[in-house]
Amino acid sequence: MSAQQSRGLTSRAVALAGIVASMITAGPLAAQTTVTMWTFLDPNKTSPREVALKEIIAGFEAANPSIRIKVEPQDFAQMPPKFFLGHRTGGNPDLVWIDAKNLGGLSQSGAGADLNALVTKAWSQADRDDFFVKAGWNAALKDGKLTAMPLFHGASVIYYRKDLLKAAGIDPASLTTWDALAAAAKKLTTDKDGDGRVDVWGFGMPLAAIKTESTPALIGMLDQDGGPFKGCKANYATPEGIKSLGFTADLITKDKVTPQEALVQNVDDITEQFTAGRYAMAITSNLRFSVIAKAAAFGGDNIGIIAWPSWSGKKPAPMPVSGWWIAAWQKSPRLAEAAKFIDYLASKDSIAKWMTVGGQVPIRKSLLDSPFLKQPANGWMTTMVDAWSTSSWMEPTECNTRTLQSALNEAVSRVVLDKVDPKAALQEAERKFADAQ
Amino acid sequence: MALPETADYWGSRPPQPLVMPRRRRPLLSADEIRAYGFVAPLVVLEILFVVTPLVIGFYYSLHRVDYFELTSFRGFDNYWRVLTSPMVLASLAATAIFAIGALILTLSVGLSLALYLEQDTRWNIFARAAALVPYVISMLVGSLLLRWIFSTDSGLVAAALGPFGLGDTTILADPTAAMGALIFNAGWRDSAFAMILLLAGLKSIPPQLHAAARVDGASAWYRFRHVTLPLMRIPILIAVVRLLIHFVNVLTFALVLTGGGPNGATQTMGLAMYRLGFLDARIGEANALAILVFLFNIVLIAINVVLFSERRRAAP
Repeated sequence: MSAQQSRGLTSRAVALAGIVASMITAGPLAAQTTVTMWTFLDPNKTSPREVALKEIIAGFEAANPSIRIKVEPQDFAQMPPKFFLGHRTGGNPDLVWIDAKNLGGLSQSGAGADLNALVTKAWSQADRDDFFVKAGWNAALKDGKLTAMPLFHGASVIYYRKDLLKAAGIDPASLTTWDALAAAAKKLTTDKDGDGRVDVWGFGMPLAAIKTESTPALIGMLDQDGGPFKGCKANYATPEGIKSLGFTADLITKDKVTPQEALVQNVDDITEQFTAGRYAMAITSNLRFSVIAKAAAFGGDNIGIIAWPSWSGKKPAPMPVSGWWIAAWQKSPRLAEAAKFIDYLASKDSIAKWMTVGGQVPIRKSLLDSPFLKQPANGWMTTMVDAWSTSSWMEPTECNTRTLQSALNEAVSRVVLDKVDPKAALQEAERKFADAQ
Repeated sequence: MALPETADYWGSRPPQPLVMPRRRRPLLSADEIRAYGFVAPLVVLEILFVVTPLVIGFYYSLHRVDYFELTSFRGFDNYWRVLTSPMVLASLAATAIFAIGALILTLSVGLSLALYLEQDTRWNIFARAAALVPYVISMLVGSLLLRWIFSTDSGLVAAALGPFGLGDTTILADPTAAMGALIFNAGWRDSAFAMILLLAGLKSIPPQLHAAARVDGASAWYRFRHVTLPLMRIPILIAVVRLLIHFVNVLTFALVLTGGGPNGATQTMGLAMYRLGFLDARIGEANALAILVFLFNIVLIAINVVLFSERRRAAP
């Protein structure tokens, strides 16, 4: 074989290899890319938020035919730790939903990709400023990196039955102080059939140590200068803290508007009991509004939400900010596609879908003048927006705040059952917080 | 003629003993290879799912773990923290009260059922099956049912106590009553398991012993005291150890029925571990507690193994 023949053969082989290689690579490019997402919602189910998610995914897939979103529903409590573990072992989805208590972990573990680089760098400043709950946006921002994008915000709030308050002659707008709340709860605690047993309790609080929400024991001390934390050190045993804990315990022991059984009731129990008509007012998450409204035997239109009372009544106590954020896994091989879906989820259209179909409070300012919010049935959303706009509070994401509500709930139990001095009970709670750091 | 000192009769080579060359024994016989083959899958599974997590758990227990990242080496500090933690010490006390209470209730009911239902009549076979119902339904579902039953607002217990003016009696929110409810939950579910273990023991007692005692005029109580109980010693001990292992480790009863409350009164070790690890994100300390509970379990299992071997020796 001459040198010329050999060169010709080589060039043909190279060309053939090129064709084969291009065929191999062209295959996957032409095929769909599947982006996997962990969330606690299942788009195959029928709750309002699940229907909203299904519609959002359908809209995205129609606009991006080469990307398919595969949802793998997870238990909401186990999802974040499972994701952090997966970051080490390499078995994570491309996208994950993260709650407020795990935003710090997301940042510290390095599992979350920088969404500023992937998504928001293409946004205008006005678009970024459109997210009006600043505490929620900033919670995922560290050293200029945005590790998660808010989807919808939530908070522990006070629900009330409009019919019962009306019958008792109570204007919900008048419940601006803790004392007014206790007095209203007394009026609402009734024994309808006169058998000596309370049929409707005035005020329900989830005081179990697991599946918690914020209660007056915490909200009452948010008014104090500097809040309940100094860095990652709990500062509960203050005059405001003692007053707040005493007030919460008194609702059971002195005012008798909350049953003692609330000490072992978690947020699921309280929500069920409120839905069943056992409480006239109760604390649960605003994220559950659509579900409660759908299930309540007394009618979804009959439910309202009030802003948190305060000691002075001059302005509401700060509204906590929790809810759900979405993050992309740092090591995902499909980061570009995942980022595209996050961009779509954060769009005005998607947030509007969360509002109108999912029953969630909109987190974009540009949606606040939507006619949907003007409807009387959605008045509670306006209450939430106003409260967050006036004063909001977010747990410090750099600390382990998982013991915050549970330790305060145990402090309530210590005061009610063991007759422990509130200050000593709060000092115990401070130690529990310190141990968890 | 004298032979030279350096040489023998056969010349310079000393005489060699006449022995057959030994065949080297194979390392393992065919039977042994087969036996190991049967055992191997189980050993592999044990290594994968028990030994490996145990080693990793021990390694984690020596570190501070933040979001599953080992951030610093703590040595045995996590063990010290766990052993001096008021929450863990309270859970140790709660576990002891629960385990002993549940053991007494379960064994008493289980033994009574076993004695009552020992004969294989149609009714007894039906009653044994009925007694097994709480044991075969899901532990979670059973505890959830009892949670509703004990609820003050809508529970059967409150409704039953209502006519006596005790309708507002709080069971789950009272520390003592909640522990009673937890023990009841365990007894309700696991008495059937005790019954099965003890029934097997009762069936192994030769009937002629009872017949002979009866001929000698022994009363039913006397026969129970001096024939049945001595021969049931090992089955009862096995039931005690097995139930104790179960009660020390069980999580579901406390998690579902009381959530560990009120005020930690029913927070058992299993629930304390769950809280430390999954709720409070204190993975290092949760692993340290898990290792300590594991060591306690080893002691109980060792007792169980010894009892089993005693029973096998005692078997006719």
